Formats: sequence, C-alpha cells, structure tokens
Amino acid sequence: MIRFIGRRFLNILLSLFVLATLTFFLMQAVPGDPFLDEKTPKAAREAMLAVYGLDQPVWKQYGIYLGNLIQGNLGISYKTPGQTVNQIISQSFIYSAKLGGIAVVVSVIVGVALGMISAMYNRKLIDKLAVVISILGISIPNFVVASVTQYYIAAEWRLLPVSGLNGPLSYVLPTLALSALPIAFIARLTRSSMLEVLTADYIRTAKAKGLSPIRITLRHGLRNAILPVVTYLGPMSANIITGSVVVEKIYNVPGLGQFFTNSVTNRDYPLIMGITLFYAIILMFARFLADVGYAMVDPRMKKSTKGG
Amino acid sequence: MDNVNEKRRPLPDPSKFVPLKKRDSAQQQMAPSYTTWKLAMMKLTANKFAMGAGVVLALMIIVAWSYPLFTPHNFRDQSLLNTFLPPGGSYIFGTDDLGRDLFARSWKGAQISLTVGILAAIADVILGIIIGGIMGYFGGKVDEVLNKITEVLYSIPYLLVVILLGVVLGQGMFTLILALVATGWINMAWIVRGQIMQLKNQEYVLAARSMGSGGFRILFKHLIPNTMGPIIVTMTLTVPSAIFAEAFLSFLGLGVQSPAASWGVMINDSLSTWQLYPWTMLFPAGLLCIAMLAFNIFGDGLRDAFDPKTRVE
Repeated sequence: MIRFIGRRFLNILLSLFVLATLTFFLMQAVPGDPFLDEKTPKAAREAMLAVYGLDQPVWKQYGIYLGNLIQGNLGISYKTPGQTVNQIISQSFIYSAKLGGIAVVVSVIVGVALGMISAMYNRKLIDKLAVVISILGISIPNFVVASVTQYYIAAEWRLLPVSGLNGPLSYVLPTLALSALPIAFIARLTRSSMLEVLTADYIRTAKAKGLSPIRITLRHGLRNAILPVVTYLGPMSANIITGSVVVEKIYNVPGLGQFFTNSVTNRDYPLIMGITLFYAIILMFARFLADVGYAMVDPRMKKSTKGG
Repeated sequence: MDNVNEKRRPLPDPSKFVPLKKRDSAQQQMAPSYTTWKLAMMKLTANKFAMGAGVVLALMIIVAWSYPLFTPHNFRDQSLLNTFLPPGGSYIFGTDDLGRDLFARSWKGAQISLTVGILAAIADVILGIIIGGIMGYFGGKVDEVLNKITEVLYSIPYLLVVILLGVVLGQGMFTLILALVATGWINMAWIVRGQIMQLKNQEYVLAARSMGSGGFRILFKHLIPNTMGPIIVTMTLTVPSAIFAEAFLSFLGLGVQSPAASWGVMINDSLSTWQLYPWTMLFPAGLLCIAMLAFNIFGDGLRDAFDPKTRVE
C-alpha cells in the first residue's frame, strides 16, 4: 500500500514537472512580449523587461521559474500590477472551492441514490425515468443548463438569486448546473454495477438469511457497487473544474475560473501558467485520492499492492 | 424490490409446454454461428433507440453539408434591416442581432462541430491503435516506458492543453482538434493495449507466427482487426465529448471565433438576447443537444451490440 502510494506520488511530481516545462516553453513560443506596445518608450520597456527578468536568456528564465515554483511562488501578474499570482489564486479560489465542493457532494449523493433506485426498480417506470434523466444530463451542455435555469428560475419566476454568491440560496442554481453531468454519469455507473452485484450469489444468501431488502441493498449491494463510482471521482473533479469556468462566467461568481478565462483573453502569461499549474495540482491530487480510495475500498487491490 | 432477479425472467408455464420439433440433421440442431460483426449488427438493428439515433445523425450530416440548398442566405451576411426576425419566410430559423440567417449559421455550426468531433475521433483511433498496439503486442520494457509516458500525459487536463495551444497557435478549429487529440488518444491506446494483451496468446497468433509472420504483420493483420469492436464503440463515444469541448471552448471565446459560426459561438452570442428573442438560442442549443444525445445513444447501442453478455431478443 505504501509502495503504491509512493509510486503514485512520484508520478504526480513527474507529471507536474512535465506540465510546468511544457507550459513555460509554450509561453516562450508566443511571439512578442507583454510590454510590446508602440506607445511605451524603449527605455521604459527595457526597464519593465528587466524588472520581470524577461531580458535574461531563456534557460536562465526557466531556471528562475522552476526555482520559484519549488518555493511555491507562481510569479507576478502582468496585467493586475501589484498582485502576485498566489494572491489572486488564494482570493478567488475560496469561491470556486466552496461551489465545487458542494457540487461534488451533491453529485455523489444524488447520483448514487438515482442509480440505486433505478437498479432496484429495474425496467419499471421509475428506472426508465432515471435513465432518461441521466441521458439528458449527459447530453445537455452545462452552459445551456446554467443560462436557461438562470433565466426561468431566477429572472422570470424570481425564486432564486440571479447571480453572485450571497447566502445559501444563491448556491442552488450554480450547483445544479455544475452537478448535472456528474449526477448523470454516477447514476449510470451505479445502476449498471448495482444490477451486476444484485444478481451475485452473496445477495441471494443475504436474502435467504432473511435480511430486509433495504439492508441488503445498502450493506451488501452498494458496498460492492460503489467501486466504479470511486474511480470516477478523479475525472469528475476535472469535469467540475472545467464546468466551474463557464458556470462562474454565467453566474458572475468571482472565482478562479473567471480569472482563468480573463487571463487568457488578456494574455497575462504568468497568471495563465500559474492557474494552469494550480488546476493541475488539484486535479492530480483528486485523482491520487481517488486511487487511494479505490485501493482501500477494493480488497483485491490491497492484496496485490501489498504483495508486489 | 425484494426479489429482483426472480421477477425479471418469469419461469415458463408448465401447462403450456410445447416439445421442440425433431430436427433432421445434427447440423440443424446446432445454433447458427455468426461472426462477431454479424452478431453485433443484428443486435444493433434490433435496438430501435440506437437505430433512430443513427438515422438522426445521418440526417444531420446530410443537412449540415447541403444546407445552402434550403436557404438563399449566407452564414456570414449581415443585414441590419432584418435583425431579430422570428423564424419564418426565407429565414427558416429567424435572424440574430446582426441580421444573420440563423438557419445557415446553425448548419454551418453543425459542419464545424461534426468535423471537429469526427476528425478528432479518427486521429485518436489512428494514434491509439499504433501506440496501444505496440504497447500491447511487444509488452515488457517497451510497454513499461510507454505506459509511464501515457500516464504522465493523461494527468494533464485537456482544457489546459487547449487553452495553452490556443494561446500559442491562435484559436481556431485546427488548434481545437490538435488539443483534443493530444489528450484523447491515450484512452484509446489503453483500450487497444488491453484488447491486444488478451488476444496475443490465442492460437491463431501462434499459427501466424509459426507460418513465419513478423511482429508488425501479426499486429496489423491479425490482432487489430479483432479489436475493432471496442475501438469503434470508444470512437463513437469520443465524438460527443469532442463536440461538447468545441462548443464549450467557443462559448468561452477560446475556440472558434465569430464571425465563423459554431454552436458554442452562437450560444454565447445569444446570451444577452435570447430572453427576448428565444430562437437565437433555441436552434443552436437544440441542435447541439440533439447531436450529443444521438451520438451518446448510438454509442451506447453499439457498446451493447458488441457486448457478448447481451443477446438478440
């Protein structure tokens, strides 16, 4: 188990290094520099370049960049002077994290419940309804969900706040838009694995012992059917992060996603690199947790990793 | 609820017992044998949902490339006298804020989305087959090294790659496809690798080898053709995610740029106007949802068709 965790961790470091290098050289390949402006006097431009270390040779810049990175310093934003990338991330990420965290919890609970109900009432009306919901959830893009619900539920019927994140009610619509896809996915995964598990011999045994149906599905069924859902947690966090970019735009949430899109349109390179790496760290961490979780839930994994 | 398995397949009523007819020869008594492909096609054609989705997709592709036959307007011509016309007349889907024909724009968008989706899926397959095939067939050190590389690449989220490439190469369809392929082929490679590993110890491979076939010949002539089922299924399911990625990025302004028409661009353009002029969002968003739905249902149908556990009803 420790070996397994160590290997995964090493992989993460390697991936981050590759991504950091890739990001750095891609940014270098972009023609021009952030201070290339006809109005800026030559001397001022050179001074600016010197301040940001952009007059150094590329390899030296790369060295400085990596050195800063190891210390957790992501650099200074070019377009919002006086603010470091670290500051921007720490200020805006709280909003994204809250929203994303709620979306993760809601997705897992609702998705698993929907999938379980669907499997228990296999091929009945409720099941068909759940299947339809999950196919729709996968097929309707989150930005459509977000803008349509925003208009009808918030603007037209005035049931919920239109934008911003003030008070618990304002979280409802963004969460809905964010978790529609993961809910659909988790419901499908749970349904199919639950159907497989429910035909297993040990379920028959449990039934023969006279356990109540609820107890059987929860204790014996769900425990084994939940495995594919655990593996989906990694990709799900990726879905929710990408989703947050649009949802934050539509609901005007001052989160990291907003800054990311803005940094791209502003060509604020340190901010782009910083947020890219930050997202990558979160994603890899989520995948890592999902892997460890999988190893802990699945007894077979534990055995094989212990032995090898 | 309490006896899930028993209820699904009721036992036949013994009073209605009908003995099987006596067959003439041993050959007739055997169940007919079909190739994997034939069986899959039988299951697919029996699946009404999947076939319906397939028909919708075919229609969509046809209209996307023949839409100029149905409208006199060009997708980029503006006409400020005709802004926000409701659907009707020569503007089948109405017009947008610049008086552009939404019918032409929606189908031009379909062209872009379908091209991105299908090209990305095909490129994924080619790369995935080559690299996954090598990984699976040669195994050992080659597999180990390639596996490590793919693991590292896979952990980089595609959105970041698209955005980074977009910053460097300029935003557009080509960048999108490149970025989607850069991250998408890995999944395909792993699927091919797993399939090949299962197949490579089969007798027919041994037979081919004993006849003197080389590694690459065995791989491409004998092994790959037998893994086509899962590959096609994965490919069909890659297309909707690529279409979604295109719409998503264009919506954020990081993909295809206006005045080029793409569903994402059109939905983004309509964000401030659709409350008053709903058709500006209805048509691009509706077509996008239909395309995703159809690809997903068709892909699911294909997966069921290639799944040996499902049977022809």
